[in-house]
Amino acid sequence: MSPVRVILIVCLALAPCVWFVTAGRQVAAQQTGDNDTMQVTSDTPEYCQYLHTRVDSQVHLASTPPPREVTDLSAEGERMCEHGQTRGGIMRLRRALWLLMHEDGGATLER
Amino acid sequence: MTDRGLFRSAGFRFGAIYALLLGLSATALALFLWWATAGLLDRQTEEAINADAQGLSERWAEGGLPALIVTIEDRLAQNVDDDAIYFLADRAMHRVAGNLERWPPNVNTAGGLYELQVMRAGIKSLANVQRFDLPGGFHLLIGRDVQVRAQLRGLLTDALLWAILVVGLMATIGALVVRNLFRRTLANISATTSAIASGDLAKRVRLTGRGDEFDQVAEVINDMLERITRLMDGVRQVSNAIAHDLRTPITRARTRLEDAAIHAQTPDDLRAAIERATVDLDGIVGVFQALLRISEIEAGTRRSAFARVDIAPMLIEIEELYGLLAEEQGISLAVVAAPEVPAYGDKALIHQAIANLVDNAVKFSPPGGTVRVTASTRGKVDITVTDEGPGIPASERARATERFYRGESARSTPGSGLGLSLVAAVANLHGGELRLEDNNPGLRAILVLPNPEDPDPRAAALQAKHDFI
Amino acid sequence: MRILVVEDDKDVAGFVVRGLREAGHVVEHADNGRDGLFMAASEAFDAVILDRMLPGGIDGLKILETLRAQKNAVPVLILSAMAEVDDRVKGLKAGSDDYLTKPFAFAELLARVEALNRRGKGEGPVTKLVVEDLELDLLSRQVKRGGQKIDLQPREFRLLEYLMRHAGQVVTRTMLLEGVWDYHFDPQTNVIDVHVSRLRQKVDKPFPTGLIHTVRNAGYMLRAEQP
Repeated sequence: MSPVRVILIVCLALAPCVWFVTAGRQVAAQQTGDNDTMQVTSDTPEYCQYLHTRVDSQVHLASTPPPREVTDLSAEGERMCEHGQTRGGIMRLRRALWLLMHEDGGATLER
Repeated sequence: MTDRGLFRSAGFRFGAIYALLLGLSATALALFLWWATAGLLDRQTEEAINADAQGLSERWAEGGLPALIVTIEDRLAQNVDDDAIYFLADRAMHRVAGNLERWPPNVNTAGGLYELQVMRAGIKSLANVQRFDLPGGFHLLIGRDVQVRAQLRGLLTDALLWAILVVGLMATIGALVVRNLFRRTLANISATTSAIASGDLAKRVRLTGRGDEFDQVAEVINDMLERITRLMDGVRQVSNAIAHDLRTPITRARTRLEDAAIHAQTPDDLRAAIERATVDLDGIVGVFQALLRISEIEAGTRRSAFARVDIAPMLIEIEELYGLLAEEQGISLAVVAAPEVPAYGDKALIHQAIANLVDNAVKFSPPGGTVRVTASTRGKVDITVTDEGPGIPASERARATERFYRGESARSTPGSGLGLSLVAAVANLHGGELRLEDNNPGLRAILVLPNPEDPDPRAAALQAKHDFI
Repeated sequence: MRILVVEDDKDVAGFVVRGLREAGHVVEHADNGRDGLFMAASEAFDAVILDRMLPGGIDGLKILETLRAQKNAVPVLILSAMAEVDDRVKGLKAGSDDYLTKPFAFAELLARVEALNRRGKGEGPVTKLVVEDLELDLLSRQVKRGGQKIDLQPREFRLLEYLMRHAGQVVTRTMLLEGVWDYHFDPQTNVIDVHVSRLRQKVDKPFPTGLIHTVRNAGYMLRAEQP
């Protein structure tokens, strides 16, 4: 058997198999039902609002004025949430809260 | 090289081994990659969840349920990466805290990791969650988003699948290359030996010059071919010599008989003719015996009878036997040797070889000359026989040990011309040599035998790479 | 002597049998192995001449081994076209008393067969060899002829001893080379003749009669001179 022929045969045999498998997996991945999906409640506009409120209360309770970054983030976050970019807004608000919590030398909310 | 079908060729086997090794190496590499990437992510997720659980349980221990709820909400509020999932449920599986709507239905046992499909703001994602059962009938679910890992896993899998194809291709190509390399190297050897088998004796296997194993094999084969060529030449030579040198006495015998048949007058004449013919035939038989002996020696079958021998007593016996003859011819025969001359070989053959040399020396020495026989052992064993006869001119010395060689000056003396040839054969068999030198005047013949103290004198003899004529 | 010749070649067998008969011996002949073995085993011979290559499934060596296994000590001379020393050794080991290669001179064969006869006689240890007035004392290594002491070199003594042990029989040059000098090959020159000649000088020349005779085309013989 000539070498070229052998190579061709190997290619022709393997290539479609591989293509088939990879394509098949992608299809399978997309076909998972919506029934099983759980909603995460911390990615909603309501939660955004909750975070905003918390940031505000934290600011009021602080002894020192908040750093510029926190204010920026908070404002930006709220704006994004109002415009529907929920996840982005939530992320900024969380970051603002985190900065506040850790800068305060550990002034935690106690309820 | 005939193509015996793909699977039986050694070249194919080598190629297949190469392909297999390549495949295994590639697989090992792929597995390692997987472990280092996707596997790492898996482990990180698990660690993070456990660390979380640890922290939360401490809060529970410190402050009970209220503290736990607060901590969960804090953590969620500060989850910048947006990848955490918490769910605290009461006995009835109702929500107490956390960021899921409800308890996921299939997470029934504590301890193991479950995969959970989640929706974050309209985007599907995947999370790994673990259940913890708390005292008081509460249940805690902690999880992390693993969508990235899932994507990476998908990517890797796809890539590896295509990689299989590529490796398969490379393995096949590599196997073919190896097989062809193999074939090409052997092709040279095979072609050369085929050519020789069909009669072209001059061909030799080409060496690549790299000195590798193939070159070594090629060298050995070339050595063998040299030997075969030489032996074949020798055979041809002998046939020629036999045809030439034996024709004479055979013709003479025949002529005498024919002559007697035609011209004999009396029964006595006939008887005389017959007797002469018998003598001639005996002479021919003697030549054949000697030839056979030489062939037997050269074939090397006598090596198995080698043993330690002492040459000194042989020299004494030879002196006794030839002493009188020398005296009769007015030649003085002197033998000088140590009381013991150890050697390793075949006693009878060495004896005959030395006797042949002395026989020649006595035959060719002029009256008043001296024949000297000495044996020395400095490392090798040298037995030297010198005479003061006509000697052998330098130009003829190389041929002197050929069968039937008679020097021009010796054409008239009796003998078959096989004496030196036999001595040379014996020398070669023992891994030594026969040296012919000028004795000024005369001939100095030196029979050199290897050192008997050699670690393996038999191996030295077996490795005798000297030319056989 | 009663001699059995086991030889399948018609010409060689005829030649040998005729020659031996003319020399005065009683000769029986077998041309194959089976008959040869049968005759050798069932009749008493003074010597057996055995060819190595025989038809009939039983070769010379096998016959020899069978005879020896039956405690038959008849002297055997093997004839063979095989000249290699190993074959010779093999033949001697199998129990033969002498080994002669073809082609051979009849005189050689005759001399050796007759020498076998002497060997088979079982004389017991001999201390003295006597032929006519020549005495050879094996113990004292002394030689006397007619009462007169003769001085001999050790090798000359051995030569004379061999001739005397085979007194009345032909001794070929080859036999002398083998028996006295332990040579198993032919030298190219007549070394033997010179030694015998020297011996004659000492043993025959000073005395009125000669004991060492030359046998034309054969060798030598030591015997009292015929009147």
